[in-house]
Amino acid sequence: MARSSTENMITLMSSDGEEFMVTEKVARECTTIRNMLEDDCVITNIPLPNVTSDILSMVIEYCMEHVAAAEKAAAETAEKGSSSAPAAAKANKDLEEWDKAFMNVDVYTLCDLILAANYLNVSGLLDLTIQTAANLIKGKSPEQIRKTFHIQNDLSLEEEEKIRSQTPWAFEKSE
Amino acid sequence: MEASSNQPDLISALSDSILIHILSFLPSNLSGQTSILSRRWRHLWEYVPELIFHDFTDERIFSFLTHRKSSNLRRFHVTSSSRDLLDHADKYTIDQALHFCSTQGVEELNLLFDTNSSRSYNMYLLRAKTLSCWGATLRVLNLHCCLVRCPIKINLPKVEELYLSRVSMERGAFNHIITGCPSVEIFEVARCSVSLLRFHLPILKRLVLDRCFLEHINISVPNLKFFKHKGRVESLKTFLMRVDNLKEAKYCMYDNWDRNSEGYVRGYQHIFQAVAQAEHLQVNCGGIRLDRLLRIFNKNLACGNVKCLVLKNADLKFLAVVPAIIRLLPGLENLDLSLQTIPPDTPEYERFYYLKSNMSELEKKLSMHLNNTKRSIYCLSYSLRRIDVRHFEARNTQIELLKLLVQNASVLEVICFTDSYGSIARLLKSREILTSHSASKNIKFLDQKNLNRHVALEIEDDYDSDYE
Repeated sequence: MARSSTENMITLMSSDGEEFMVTEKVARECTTIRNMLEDDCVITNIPLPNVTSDILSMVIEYCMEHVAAAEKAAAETAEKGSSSAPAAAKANKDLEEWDKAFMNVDVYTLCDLILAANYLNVSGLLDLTIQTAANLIKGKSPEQIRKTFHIQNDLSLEEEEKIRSQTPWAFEKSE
Repeated sequence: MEASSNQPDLISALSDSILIHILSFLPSNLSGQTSILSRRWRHLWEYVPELIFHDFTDERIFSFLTHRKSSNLRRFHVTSSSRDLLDHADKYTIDQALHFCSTQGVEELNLLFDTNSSRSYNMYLLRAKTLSCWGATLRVLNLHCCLVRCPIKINLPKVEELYLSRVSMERGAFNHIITGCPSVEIFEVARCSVSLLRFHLPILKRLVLDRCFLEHINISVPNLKFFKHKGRVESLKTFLMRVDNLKEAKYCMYDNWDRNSEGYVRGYQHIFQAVAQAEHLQVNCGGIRLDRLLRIFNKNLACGNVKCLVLKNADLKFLAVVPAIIRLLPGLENLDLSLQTIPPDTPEYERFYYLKSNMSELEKKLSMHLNNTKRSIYCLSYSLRRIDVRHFEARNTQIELLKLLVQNASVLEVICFTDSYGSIARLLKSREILTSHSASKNIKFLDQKNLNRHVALEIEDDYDSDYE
């Protein structure tokens, strides 16, 4: 495969028609796009009908940050001959902090990001967003969870009572 | 369904598999709670492929298990963080639950009981029968504070990761389990008592022995990449470790200041011989007496492959053995000193400088030792290219050591100071001393995060390089 130029640019097009130029390396963070590229080397313009421009720009931001971090770590290893553990640990921590700040979004953006990460198959971002969603559920009563995610309760009172009586242990703490 | 609220419910619109994935990050009783959120969420929790029980070890587990619809279980995770002991009913429940799930293809089993008691009769007893019925699918086994009874050979062919911490093994159980896991790649043991450890694991990549009681070790691990040892070794009688591909090793020395000096010296010598096969070696001897340290490295141990040596917590006494250590490492290219000096008038100071000698006396000893060993340091003449110094304070001993190194290091290229402190005048003075004694022509000094001042000094060309 011809991959001599490392700065091969790829255009990603969002559902609302906006175009994003990214390096091939960043695009390859998305497994879905990587598979497309591997099937067809000459492809340079990829339409992504399931992702809006707002969300796509966030996904690209995430991928760029993680590619940059990986490159930096690789460069340091190459320079010193062997990786120094404290530096690597610090870089990891910085990236974690970045992830944490990146996840400071409302639940709608979060759900959209989950969908996009799932569709584009960015495993790191999918894990991060799903973990964030799980953290939003943790430690909340059912009523609070409904409120957080705007879930409509379509169960009748009798149905709810029936479920509660079937699995009483699940509701011990929240009552 | 009409949207009576003006805010759409995006999360419920996600696919089943994503929602189940989200629920799998929650403790199981919390995921059960989502059943009353709405009709959409009614049965999702019953398909989560992970069971996670925190402090949830009684018969409620059964109610949970019987509600599960999915017959596929990836992970079974039980922790008890309460300081209370597990009672008989709890132990029975866990046993039954483990049997109940044994046909469901579990890949990861974590049994983490945090109890104060180390008495074996208080612990959860994991039997060979229970373990072996998981054998066909188990990939990760993680046990904390359990008692393991395994008098027969068992077969866990797929286990890749094995973590044992504060696990009490009945006679023979340790070796039966390890020989039953031929595919293990990661093996970590902490605070276990292992009198005889003997195995051949062809694809083991990572081995950690953390504060274990060890007596006889005879292991063959041709593909080991990472090895870490921490803890006391006075009881170690034999230590045979066959490694061919060791990349990184760490070891941390302790002693308890008792009389069994021979045991410590011999034990750490054994381990040093094994870890010196690594390319990247990190040594921490913050907790061992100077006289023992000197004896450990005074012996002519077999030479190693170490290219990068990191010395952690290098306090004053540690500096005294640096020449003795690098003497044993003929191919050393990078020496990384993480200095530590303890301020006087602290309890630590008393403890460390048990000799009660004053600083200058210790320094005199150090320089005597340095002078004795400097003749035969091979790596200084041929391979040492870079010295990293962290937390440099420009103390006399520190300067003394660096001076000795630069005096003899004829191919040294870089000295890098990171996080130095102490007065700038002293730092500059020490730089001058180093420059004027250097044996190599082109040493570059680098400073990282030092008092926000960048001081770079180039060595003058007219300096005589044949100092020796």
